[in-house]
Amino acid sequence: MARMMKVELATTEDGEMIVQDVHDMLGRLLVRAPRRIDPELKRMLLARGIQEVFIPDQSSGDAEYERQIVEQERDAIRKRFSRLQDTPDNKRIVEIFIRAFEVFHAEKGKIPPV
Amino acid sequence: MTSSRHAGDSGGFRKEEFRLKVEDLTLLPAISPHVLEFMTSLDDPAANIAGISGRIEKDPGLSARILKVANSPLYASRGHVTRVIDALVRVGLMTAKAIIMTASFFDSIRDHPAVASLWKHSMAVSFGARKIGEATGMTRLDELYLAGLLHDIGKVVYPMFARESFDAYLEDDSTDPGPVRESRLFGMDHAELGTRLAEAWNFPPVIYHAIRYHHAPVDAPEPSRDVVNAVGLADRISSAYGMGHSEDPFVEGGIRPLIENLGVSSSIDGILASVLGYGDNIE
Repeated sequence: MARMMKVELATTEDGEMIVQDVHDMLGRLLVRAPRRIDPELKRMLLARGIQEVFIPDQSSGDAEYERQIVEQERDAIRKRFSRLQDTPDNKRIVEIFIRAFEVFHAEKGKIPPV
Repeated sequence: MTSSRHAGDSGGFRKEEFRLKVEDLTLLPAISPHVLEFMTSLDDPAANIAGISGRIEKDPGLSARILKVANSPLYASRGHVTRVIDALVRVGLMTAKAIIMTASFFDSIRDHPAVASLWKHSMAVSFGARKIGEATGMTRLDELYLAGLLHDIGKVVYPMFARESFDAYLEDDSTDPGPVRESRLFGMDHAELGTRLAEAWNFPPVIYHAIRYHHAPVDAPEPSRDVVNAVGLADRISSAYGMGHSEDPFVEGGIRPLIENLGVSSSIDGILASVLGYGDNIE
């Protein structure tokens, strides 16, 4: 699991990635991670009393930060596929999607070549 | 039919009232006069592109949207256009109609938190469907773009007329597929709803077939099957890569049949990379 840190929502930059699900005080899911912050999302969360969110910990540098983001997104892809029936065909499809995702980010220099 | 009220709706939402509002929407009363004028002019056999362009230019927002699509990566190889009439020639009148209708609907729910993800998903699916069409040698690429753009238009109607129920739908952690939950909450799922609208707005059958069957392409009528398969695959790719608004796109049939039926097994890597690249730049 990539490192993350809690920050004040009001001071976060647009485009920052929320890396942990956000729930309201009643436990209802407001945001499913990972999700980039945009002005509308920030306004909605603040209006619902959310003051802090988790974002990746960038203290280890930009490269590490990028790697963490990619790692979070890769986990999210697997999670989205998790309700597919567990067949060899479906496993192969998941691997095709994951590999294309890794190649895409490797070509952008965000992760080591795959 | 019994009256059905959802517990989360302080406003007293009823399925039958929602259905009546949808019927009203097929008559287009909820959109701006400029959009209405434009839509009417498209159905007029005597209309010419200069006249239609002139109507669009009355509305800077509409003009900007058409220009933006005409200058998007989909048409990048054809150079930059700055005039609405050139943009219309490039994208085609039917695509312009879909862009303006879709944008008009999204505008009406612009303060809803889900609007950005719905919009992003629609754009990603329209791009992906067109890319799949290119990879498979389909000739009517504009239809693919249009079908992708409109495939979830029915979902936009929920927050328009049943906002609290739609919020409850988004927060519902049920394992039932989205369309099943939609039918339960609203009396009709987004595919049925969108099909009604697209039929009423005079879009061709291939478009409303894509809307109706994108979750079950195998049921689509044969003449539309390739377009529906392409939209269905683009829908699943976009959702898998987080350009979606739902976490349950994969319980409704597999992905491999779509890939095989479209014959894109050898080009799927390139299609996936294209959608990922496009998704990074959707505003």
